[in-house]
Amino acid sequence: MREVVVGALFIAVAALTFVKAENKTVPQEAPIQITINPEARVSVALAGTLPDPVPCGTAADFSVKILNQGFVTSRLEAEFVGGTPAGVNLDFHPAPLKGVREEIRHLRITLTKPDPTDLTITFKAHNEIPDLGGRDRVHFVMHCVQTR
Amino acid sequence: MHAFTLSVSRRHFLALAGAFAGAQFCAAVESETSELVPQPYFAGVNRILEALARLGAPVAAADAQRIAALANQDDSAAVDAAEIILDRYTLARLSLDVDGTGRIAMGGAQRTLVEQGWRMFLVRIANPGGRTNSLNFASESQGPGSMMSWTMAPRAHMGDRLNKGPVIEKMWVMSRMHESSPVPPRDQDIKAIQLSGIPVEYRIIELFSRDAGRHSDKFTLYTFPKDGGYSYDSGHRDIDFDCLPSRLVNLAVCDADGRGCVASLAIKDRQDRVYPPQAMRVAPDLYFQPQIYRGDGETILLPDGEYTVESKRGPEYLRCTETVTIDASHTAIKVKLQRWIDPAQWGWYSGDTHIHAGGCAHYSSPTEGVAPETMIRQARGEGLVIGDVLTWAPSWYYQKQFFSGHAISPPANLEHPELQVANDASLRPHPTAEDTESILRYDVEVSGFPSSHAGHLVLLRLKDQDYPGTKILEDWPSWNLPILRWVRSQGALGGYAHCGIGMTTDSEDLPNYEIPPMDGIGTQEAIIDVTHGLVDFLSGCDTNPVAELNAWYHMMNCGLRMALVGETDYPCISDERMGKGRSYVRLEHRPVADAGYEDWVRGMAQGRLYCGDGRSHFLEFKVSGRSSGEGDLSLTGSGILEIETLVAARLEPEPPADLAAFRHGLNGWHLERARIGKTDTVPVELIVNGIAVDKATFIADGKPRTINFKTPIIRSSWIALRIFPSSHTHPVFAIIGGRPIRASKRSAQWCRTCVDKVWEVKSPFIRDSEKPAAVEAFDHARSVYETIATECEIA
Repeated sequence: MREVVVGALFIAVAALTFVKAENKTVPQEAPIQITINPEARVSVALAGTLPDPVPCGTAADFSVKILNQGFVTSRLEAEFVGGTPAGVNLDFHPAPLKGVREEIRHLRITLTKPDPTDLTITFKAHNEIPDLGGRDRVHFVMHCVQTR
Repeated sequence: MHAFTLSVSRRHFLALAGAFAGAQFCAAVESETSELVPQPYFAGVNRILEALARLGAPVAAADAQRIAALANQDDSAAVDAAEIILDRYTLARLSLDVDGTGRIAMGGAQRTLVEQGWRMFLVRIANPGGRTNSLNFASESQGPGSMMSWTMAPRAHMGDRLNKGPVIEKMWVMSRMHESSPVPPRDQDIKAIQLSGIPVEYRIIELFSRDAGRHSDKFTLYTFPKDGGYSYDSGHRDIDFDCLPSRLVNLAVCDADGRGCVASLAIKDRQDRVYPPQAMRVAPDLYFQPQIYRGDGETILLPDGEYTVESKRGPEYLRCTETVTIDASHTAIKVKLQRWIDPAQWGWYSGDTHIHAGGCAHYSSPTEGVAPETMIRQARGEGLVIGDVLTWAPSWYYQKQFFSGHAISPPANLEHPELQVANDASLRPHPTAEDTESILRYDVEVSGFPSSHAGHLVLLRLKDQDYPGTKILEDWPSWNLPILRWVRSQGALGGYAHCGIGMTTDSEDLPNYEIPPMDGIGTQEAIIDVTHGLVDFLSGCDTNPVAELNAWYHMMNCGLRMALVGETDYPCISDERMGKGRSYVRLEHRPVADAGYEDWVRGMAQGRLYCGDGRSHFLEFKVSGRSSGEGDLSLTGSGILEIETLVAARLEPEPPADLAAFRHGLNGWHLERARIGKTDTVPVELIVNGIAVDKATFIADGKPRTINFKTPIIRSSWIALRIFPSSHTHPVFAIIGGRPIRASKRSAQWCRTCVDKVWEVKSPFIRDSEKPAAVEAFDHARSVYETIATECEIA
């Protein structure tokens, strides 16, 4: 009987571990989706759920899904439109693109104050002309959690 | 006891009422805004003001400047001040309570609409609960049609009823919230905006009026559950409007010689609102351009009022602005175009070899892009003689139907008259006397194809647009050389588009010897293909000019010849207008129909051309009596070359207020980047084998001027002139003793290293089945450049 219980526990733990591992690898819909058209113009849109608020001073991680129709192998660049808001840091120094159809990169934003902050970020490929008509930018409101 | 009486006139009453209402408004604003954090408030406001400007309905310039200053002030007093300004543009003030209950109050905007036109207003949303669900604010009757806002194309829509008459009668207004998107579940076909969660935000509502006069309709605030589902009515209110009548205004558009023609017209009212509004346009009017293209004898609908009309017709014409008043006794606008230069007087005819009718900024629905009737209208309105409309991967299967293998100059008819009727019944196409002077040729850009990683190809004068044995794009070769061989086999021309892309280095020197990253879609494989004799041209003037010219110079220093032509890549690199980058080809006669197009393309390939932004022109260019494209200048030995040019350029009389910012914001070539300081002069440089060996300056006032240079040469060389970065001649090749040009060992080594770099970056995208042939072709290029390097006399 004892062996049966231990065996059942083992199976349960293994199953939980498997489920956890699966959850980790199941691709979540990236909150930011970039499309590089065949002419290398970079357009961007909000696609998935924004990450939950993190403690102030901690970087929030945004997955960026890149659909590359232009075989572009340069580096993507991002910056705030109209200058960096006070107390905000944008970290986006991704590896150059591989030119393949779909890739994921990560963008990190750190807020130091818990107030809601409206962010507009523009994307482009290095040394490239941005997309036209405002399609190169995405905006959202973000806040962080005051821990003290 | 005295009775106390107070005499209150109507005027006093209104003043007191206004003061009371104002005080109420201010108190309400103050209570709502005192807790507002300025950053998200102003970030949202600035975005909305940008959107209004993009829709052709900007707020007054003074208000925009004041709000920009308040945004920098960044405190609650600034928010209060901005609220007062924005109220003047606000149709309704919506409030959402914490429980989702909504209220509607009137904003301070003048509620004026336009018959058969669109107007934009702000909607203020107070959201103290920080809700992030979706919301819609809409008129009840919803008008005679509904729009797909992301395509800017209307589709008729009406409920299935037996007796539509009374319903149609009520449908005088149509509304939509700007940037609304489908609400889940998406099959509901209901759109709404998503709230950001900040306490106060602004959005844009667009209103169309079918009728003139005073009208009222019920507006309803709908809110939607956060996780989708059906909306509930959170509040409603009747709103009345004054709808100004519109008049059919006749347009008389005359060229400098008095003949009727098509021109670019940007029509704005005193508030800088654009007509017809960009928020709702149907081809041939495009939403991404403030201007429209109208021909002599055509019309536009305008309400009574004062307008500024800016007329242009490409860079060879002066930009004219005049103020006109439209009322019962003034129902016509006369446009008399003025040229500052007519290159055709010297035999030069313009062309833009890279324009698109589908993809990038174009409509994607109901058609994929626009039809030749719309493209020819734009070409005529920009004074372009030749327009090469290139079909490419997006919209390939739709647009390729327009390929005929012939030059065309169709009437500028409406491609979908029923859509025009639905949107604005005024436009009736009218032919003009100059219509035959612009030609379109449908051809191909290899973009979005398997080989596009190696650089995009512009293919001109094709007889067949499908690569042999292919049925779909994915069947095409995965590198460019086989395509160029096929192009040559049918007597067509092939070159590399937007040639500066992927070629930018840190150095801004010309020439420079840094190896480009080759990570884009420009010249890249051209460096290999030119050694196989299969590159007819590089196509530029629309990207980094140093990156464009550097590779061209190095290849020509190796004795490899190709033209540099001007292009716009409209509307991908720029949606401003076609013909921003141009080639001017010298011909004996104006090119007309197929034969004219043949002559123009042949002249381009032979080098009887200069390219640029059309703001400067090399009307004559001779090296010891030989013009470019007339064959080599054969010499028996070294000597002095005499260079003569007739050159003209025209800067605007005053430089832009912030010249540095203006230059920084420019993509591609522009004469303003050549202006010397704040003077009205520009330099013209003599280029020998890629090096500027002499320079003269001249006044860019539009007058042609003769400039002479002399330069010694001791070996076979190429000689050209440039006004950097505005125009560039094709070279004259001076050949001494029959020896080929071997002008620079460093150039040959640069090209040789580039071959390896291109292989390193691009070969992973070449199919395994095609790699052996590619290896052989790249090895051939390496060998050619190594041999040339050994043949060069100088480093």
